[in-house]
Amino acid sequence: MIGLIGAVGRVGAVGGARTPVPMGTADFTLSNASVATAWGIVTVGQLLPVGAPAGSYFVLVESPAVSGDDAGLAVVNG
Amino acid sequence: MSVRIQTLNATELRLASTILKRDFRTGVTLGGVSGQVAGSWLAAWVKLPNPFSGNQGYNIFGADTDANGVANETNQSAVQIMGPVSAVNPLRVRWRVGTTSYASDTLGQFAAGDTVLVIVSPATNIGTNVAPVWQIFTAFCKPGSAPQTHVVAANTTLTNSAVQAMLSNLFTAAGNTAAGTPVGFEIEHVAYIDGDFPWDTAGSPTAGVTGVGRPHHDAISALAGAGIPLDFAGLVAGQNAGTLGYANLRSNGDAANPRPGRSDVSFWWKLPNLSTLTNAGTGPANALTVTNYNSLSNGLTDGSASIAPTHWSPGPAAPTITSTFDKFIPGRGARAFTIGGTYDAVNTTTLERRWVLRGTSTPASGRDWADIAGISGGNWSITETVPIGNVDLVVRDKVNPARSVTSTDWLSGTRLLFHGQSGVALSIRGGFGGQPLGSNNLGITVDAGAQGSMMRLNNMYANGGTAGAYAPPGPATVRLRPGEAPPNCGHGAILFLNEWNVHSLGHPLQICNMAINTHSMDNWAADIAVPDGDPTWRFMGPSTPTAPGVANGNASGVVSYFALLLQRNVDVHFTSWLPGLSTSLAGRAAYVAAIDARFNAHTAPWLVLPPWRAHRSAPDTAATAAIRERHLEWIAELGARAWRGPAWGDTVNDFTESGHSAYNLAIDNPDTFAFNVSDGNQVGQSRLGRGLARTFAWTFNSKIKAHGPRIVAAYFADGTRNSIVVELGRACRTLGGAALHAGQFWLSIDNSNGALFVNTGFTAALSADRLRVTLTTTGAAFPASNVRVEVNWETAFGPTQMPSERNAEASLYGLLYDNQTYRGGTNLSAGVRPGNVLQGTSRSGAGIAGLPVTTRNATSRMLTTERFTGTRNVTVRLMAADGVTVLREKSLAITAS
Repeated sequence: MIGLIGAVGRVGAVGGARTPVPMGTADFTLSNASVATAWGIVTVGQLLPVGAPAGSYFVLVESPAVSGDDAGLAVVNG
Repeated sequence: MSVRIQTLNATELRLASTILKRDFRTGVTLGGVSGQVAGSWLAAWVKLPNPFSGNQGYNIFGADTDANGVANETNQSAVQIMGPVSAVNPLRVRWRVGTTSYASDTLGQFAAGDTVLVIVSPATNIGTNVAPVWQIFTAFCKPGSAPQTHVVAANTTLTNSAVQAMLSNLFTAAGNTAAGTPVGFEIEHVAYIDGDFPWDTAGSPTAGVTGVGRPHHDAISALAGAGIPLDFAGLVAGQNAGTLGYANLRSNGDAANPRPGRSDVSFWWKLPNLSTLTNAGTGPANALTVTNYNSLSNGLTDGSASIAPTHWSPGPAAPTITSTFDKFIPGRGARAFTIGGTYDAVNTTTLERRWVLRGTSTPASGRDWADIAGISGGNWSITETVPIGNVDLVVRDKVNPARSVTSTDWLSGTRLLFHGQSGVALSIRGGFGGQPLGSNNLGITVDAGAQGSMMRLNNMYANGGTAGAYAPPGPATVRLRPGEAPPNCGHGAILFLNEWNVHSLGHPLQICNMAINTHSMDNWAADIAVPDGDPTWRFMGPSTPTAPGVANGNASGVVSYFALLLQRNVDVHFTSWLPGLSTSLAGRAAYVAAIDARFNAHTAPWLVLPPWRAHRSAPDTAATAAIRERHLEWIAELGARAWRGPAWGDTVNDFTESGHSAYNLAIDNPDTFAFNVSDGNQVGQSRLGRGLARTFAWTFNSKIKAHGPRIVAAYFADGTRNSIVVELGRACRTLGGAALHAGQFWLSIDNSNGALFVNTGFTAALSADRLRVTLTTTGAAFPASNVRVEVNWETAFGPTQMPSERNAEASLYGLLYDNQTYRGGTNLSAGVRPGNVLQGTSRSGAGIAGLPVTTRNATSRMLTTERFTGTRNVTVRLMAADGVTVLREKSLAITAS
């Protein structure tokens, strides 16, 4: 990519700081997966943690192929 | 071989268009130089029959315009050879014009079976261009013998006439008269040459008027094979170059061009056989046609051998390819392009071509060997589409493939033409002066796979001569190849190509930079002289694309010359005309019409970038709301031809309020001016180049986006309302680890765009995962309601003007950048499209800016940030608070309508 001045941290990207570890019992659900989009921002559904420790939060994985925002989607933690 | 009479009064060769003599007193362009006052001459190689009988003057070539078999009528003419039993001038050449015979009864006689070069001239200027002196002559030469010449005093009527026919037919078969060209006559290499025959000022003619010199016998002998042998083209080339070197050779007396006359081989029928009847000269197409008379046919046949000396047939030659100056084929692989060259019209009858991937023998898609249909008179051309990429063109003789030529390293792709003022002109090259295409101050290398070409004019203002005198402009190009870092090209242009290549891999790009600093669109449309340039050099020039002259620019202009160089072909016109976009609809329409008149091969779209900010100051006189509105009006006026781009990029400028993106490697390097800024951190020309490239890529592929740092949600961190958490749509960063610049965030506490929208009174911090910004008040807690937050709402740099662009540069380090180094207004409503590259932004602020700050939700949410339909998959992770541990990862399918 073209951002030459320092690499942009891509969550889960090769060389990034975050390394997946064996998953435990924590899980999550999305309350709704269908949406009528608009030019503005529209909520798709609630991301609901199950058995997650305090302070946990959600991110979209940005891969070299496509980021969450490139897909027209984002997550919000509050 | 030659062409030979085999049946009397049966067949002759007639021209498609009779050649009339021009008024020789009028100056013309010869040998590339205008204002030449010169005559003309005709010549041919002729072989007499053996045996040869008869008592007429037999027409060999001339103008029997009414095809009645005789050429003694008004405005007709003929070169004749008299029969051996003629009562006058037996076996001699003479030139007959109407009823006048320029008899040559003192010239030597021929013998049956002789081969001779015959030359006649209705007028030859042996004076000067200003004071011409005219002579008529007849001459001949048998190879191995001395030339003989007959000079006649000028015939004023003949010199002045523009209706006297000079050539319409070879041989005479019409009319069934006794004067039909006898069986056995052969002819080859017939020429009509505009210009004067080289003149010997000291020698006397063999016959006729003495004391005025004669056609130079060395030149005639050279045509016949003596000395340094020449054919018509060789003789004319030597004349025009001034390299003939014969003794007592007349100068044409033109002080500026003291050379022995100038000429063009306008018509040359080589006639190796009856199948090669096209004009191989430099004049218009004018083919001979086999024409039958008297209910007979097939009266001509190929001769058994060439009758001209051997140097007239130098052997088979490979074809040639005439390259354009830039070897760039616009049209995105979809518009036909014409390329031509020459071939050996004597020895080649069929040509074929193929396009191959550069440096290989692998044919480009669908472009393997195919016959060239456009082959005639020594010239060939093809008009076809060429697949996108980097290719070589191979042309060869189909029958003898070893006669082959290859022209390497052509690019077929997209051509952009930049219009506007200094902001555009300098956007990809750098500061004023220097090399026409700038300099690669940052040493940027062309990416793998990227192919491009940059183009502008040397001496763009035409005043590059001594002390600012006129000097003709010419094309300047830089070829951009993978792995190379050309020093003579602005690094912004190279980054432009590299970014374009990310989205259009291997698709060649050419940027033609026609913008000139300072001047308004109206000045261009009015076609005034370029104010900072030579007074003869105008903005537009003639609508017929024309090159500038050697002595002045009167014949041309900037746009006219660009159109000539670019074959009138452009794929996209581009501008953001700051601040001089015409204020009126009529002015804008006049400019577009003038451009279209010169680039009329097609109607290319206009990509227009409305301005938001050209420099750090507010107000910004180069990009006021009025100028932005003017751009939007123009876009509307252009209708379907307009592509509305995003806002013109706000960059670090090379000095305060210039609107010129910074381009130096470091402050004052390479320049000595104290501009106090640089592009070392790639926030000047570099950022602009990348942003423009992404915009162009988007125009051809709407899936390409530049989202920038987008706020997707904002909420109070807790019940104290001392902090606001701003959630970004994607991970962002600052430059070089700089602290986040708080001034780029704007808060409103009245739920509107009102005066309470400010960017002070809080600090800003970016989270470790770069997905959130926390704004913390430096005073009282934020209100509980009517709070909105935005990024880059008015300017990125603070509530007051900063003292210099250097300080602005420091602030730019602390701005948010996404991985595309893009940023801009976000979340503006009023029916526009948040995050879309189309949106741009407006500091005049139509609609309600920003997002409302809410109480923090108890749960997390999935959001859509754009309008789409169908199903998209996205991977979501549940992260532990340490920011490292992945608790769960899922791929979710989101269906939108």
